[in-house]
Amino acid sequence: MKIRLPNAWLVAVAAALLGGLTGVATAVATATATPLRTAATAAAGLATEGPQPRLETDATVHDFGRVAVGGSGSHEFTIRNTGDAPLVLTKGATSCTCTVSDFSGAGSGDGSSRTVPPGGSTTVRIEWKGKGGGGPFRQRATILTNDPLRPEVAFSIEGQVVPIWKAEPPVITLAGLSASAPAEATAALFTFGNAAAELVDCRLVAEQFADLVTVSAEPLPPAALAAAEGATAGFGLTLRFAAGLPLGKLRGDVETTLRVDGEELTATIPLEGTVTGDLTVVGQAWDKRAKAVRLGTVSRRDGLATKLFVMAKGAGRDQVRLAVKEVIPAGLEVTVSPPRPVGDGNLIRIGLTLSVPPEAPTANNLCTEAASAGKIVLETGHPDTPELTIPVCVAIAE
Amino acid sequence: MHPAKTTHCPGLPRQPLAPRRVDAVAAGRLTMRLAALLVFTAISASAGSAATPDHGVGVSDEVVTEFQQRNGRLFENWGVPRAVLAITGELDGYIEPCGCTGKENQKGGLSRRQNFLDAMRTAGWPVVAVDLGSQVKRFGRQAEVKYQSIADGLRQMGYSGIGFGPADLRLPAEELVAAVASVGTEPTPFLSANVGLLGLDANITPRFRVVEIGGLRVGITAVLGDGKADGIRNDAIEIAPAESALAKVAGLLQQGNCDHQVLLSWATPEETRSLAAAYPQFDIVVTAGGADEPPAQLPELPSGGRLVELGHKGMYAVAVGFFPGSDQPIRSQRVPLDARWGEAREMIKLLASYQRQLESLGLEGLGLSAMRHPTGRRFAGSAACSDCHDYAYEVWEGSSHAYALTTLEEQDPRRDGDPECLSCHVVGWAPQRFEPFEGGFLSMAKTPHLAHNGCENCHGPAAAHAAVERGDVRATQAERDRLREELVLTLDTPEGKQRAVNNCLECHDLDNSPQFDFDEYWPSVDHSEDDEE
Repeated sequence: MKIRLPNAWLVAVAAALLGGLTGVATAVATATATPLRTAATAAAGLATEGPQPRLETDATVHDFGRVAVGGSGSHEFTIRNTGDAPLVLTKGATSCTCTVSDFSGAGSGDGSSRTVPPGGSTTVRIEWKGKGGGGPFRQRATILTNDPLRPEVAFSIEGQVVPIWKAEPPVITLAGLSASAPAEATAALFTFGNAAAELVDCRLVAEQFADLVTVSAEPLPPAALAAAEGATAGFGLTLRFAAGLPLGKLRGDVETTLRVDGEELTATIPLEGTVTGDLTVVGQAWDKRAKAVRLGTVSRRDGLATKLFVMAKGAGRDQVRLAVKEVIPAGLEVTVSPPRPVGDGNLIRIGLTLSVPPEAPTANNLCTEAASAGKIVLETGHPDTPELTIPVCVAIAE
Repeated sequence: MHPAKTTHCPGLPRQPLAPRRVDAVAAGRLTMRLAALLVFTAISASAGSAATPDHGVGVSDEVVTEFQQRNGRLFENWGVPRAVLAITGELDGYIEPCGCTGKENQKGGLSRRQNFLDAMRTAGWPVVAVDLGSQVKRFGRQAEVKYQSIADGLRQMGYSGIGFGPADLRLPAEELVAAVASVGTEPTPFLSANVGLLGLDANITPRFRVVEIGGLRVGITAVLGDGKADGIRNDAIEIAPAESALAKVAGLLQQGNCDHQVLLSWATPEETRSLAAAYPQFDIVVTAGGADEPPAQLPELPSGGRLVELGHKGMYAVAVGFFPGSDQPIRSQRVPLDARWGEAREMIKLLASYQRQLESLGLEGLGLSAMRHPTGRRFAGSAACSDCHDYAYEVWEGSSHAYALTTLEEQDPRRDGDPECLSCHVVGWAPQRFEPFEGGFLSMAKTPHLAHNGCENCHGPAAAHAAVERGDVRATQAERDRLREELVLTLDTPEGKQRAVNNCLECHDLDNSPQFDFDEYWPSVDHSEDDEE
């Protein structure tokens, strides 16, 4: 018998159409024929025909308002069975600081489950503890049910956990301070006692530089207390750093002793930061550990255009004017942009555009044993650092 | 016999093709074509009934079901959205969950986040991912390395918009720029309307972005609230007032013919609501400063837009699905990043790289220097206690505390070079400052006797006491008694018990041991002297 074979492309198109139609039909059939949450109902052995339990609640969210850190509270939610079959309730998962206490009211069962007859109701008590450092609080407790339309119901507890004191910012951080110029940092300390707190003492505890810093604290005006809801007192802390801070890491604690509701306590605000030189290099290609610019191998056919920034701060920043004195390899071109202040002007930014033109000579300055580093030497105009040398790791190839 | 090859000769009338005979070759071709038909059918059928992206690939049904029961089912009644906005943020340095409660019992982490995004993409959902900011919480070299790692991870996951949180902006400018700036021709996903690294005019990051996804145009911008900007002291960062900066960007976004506009607002909910009221064009507004968990439903703003809270520590993501033309054009789903998502290999590699960097930097490279213990005393190591306190030592040896460091070594990737982990898994560190005390653990090579969470972490440094008891050092009876008394902890008085509880809470804190209750946990480590035989 002779059979005429169909064209392969026709087969593919027909297969795609057939498959697509099959898939859509399957999806539609699944969606319409399968009750909602079939997997859950099947897993729970829930019946979907005949008399059914029906769970109703008035509310599933309780706002407890405010609770102190370490304090606790509880609330009862009512669950009613408006169906015509027993409603079985089981304790489900809870958020980390929530616990579900026993069920109470109509029905039978042990502490972890409850069966509510048709027309009956029960209550479930949710307890919580105010943990952590304070702030908005929201946690859940879940009850599993045999109501096929509501196999689980989540009760949510919300409110505010109020600490005894709070600092804003919680850590005083000063990145990139200048060793040659004074600086200042501020923080606000709020208390939440029943009455306004009294300031006893405020000091900086820091092994290496405490003598270069003065700390003062003043009561905040009432309007400033609005920044911390519920605060009954607030103090503005000011730290003044003199010039001459040692280069490197800053680490200390601002300790403020307060009397709150008759009890004395010490609020400790960590202080951390860095003190760096007045001229620093910043950029995507800047390798901070190696203290070099890494450009890799650049094809002069493709060229290069990348940007670095020299940041100037401290007493001499306004005198900084960069001029290119020397560049190795010779094929690397450096263009200097005019200086621009950043923000309040405590920092001046000067852009350097690095490029490799098509006619650049080849070179290898890849910072290996066989190929020494290149460099960009800049005259700066800075009174203490008249010249800045930036190592460059680059190779210029065809 | 080969089938005749028919050609058409110019000038001659076309002849009908002669039917080809069936032979072995043709039968083979028929078989292959039928097989192709079946394969195409299967693939097309799969695409036609794509699975809901509610779990990670390779996760067992048992685990999926368990976490659906624990934390809820996802995307019920959604169907396939035109596009979905996946929103994350406030990671606060929790690059992955860990803690003595067990990873499977905790939520969050970049690894699960990647699998969540991949599940939606695999299901054929067009996804645009955005992040509010606050990748880190701390300051110092480890935070810098972590920020770079997280930024790399977010790029790998294909994020389209990432804002800045206050803690991010406390990092040194050179670290931020290195992590955030465009790489080659690939634009940076970081953006902000009012935060400019090295100045707003340096244009390290754009002020906004418009993304086309699923045939929809989605405009994205971010702001840092004025209340949060006040606490940042970083001269290399320019921060403009939020509302005036947003005014400029809002106008540009309006010209972008966007179907949806997203505002990532790192501000208090109150300030965010105020910005949303001033610029009602934003129909999805993400805020910081909410509770630990996001609400189940997105509250509606007076403008008709939706307010999104994300919770803390990156434990949750929020998915907003767009269904234009339907009776519910916007749907939302709070997504717990729990064990149902499994672990993504790419993120595990990234985490391993992060841990290797920490290890290679070492404590000195991370800028960690030992600080004086508040008591001024030095450490002896738990074995020194066993000479006299054999019962207590035996109880300790049988507890999890005695192999705390081993649990870090056995992690994948291992964490025994990570100060944020070491601080509670060895002797002689300040647990909440992640730094060693003088004489505390340095490494297994240098201080093996201080491995694991030992006696002195609760009782205090005991080197002087041990030396006196061994007779290595002569002391008066009064001195001997004083050294003994300094190390005693009692549960017999409320003050004593509170002191003991506070010791435990240094490590069993909300982050790592959220279910901790002293009275429940104490029996497993009870080594009261009265029980000693």
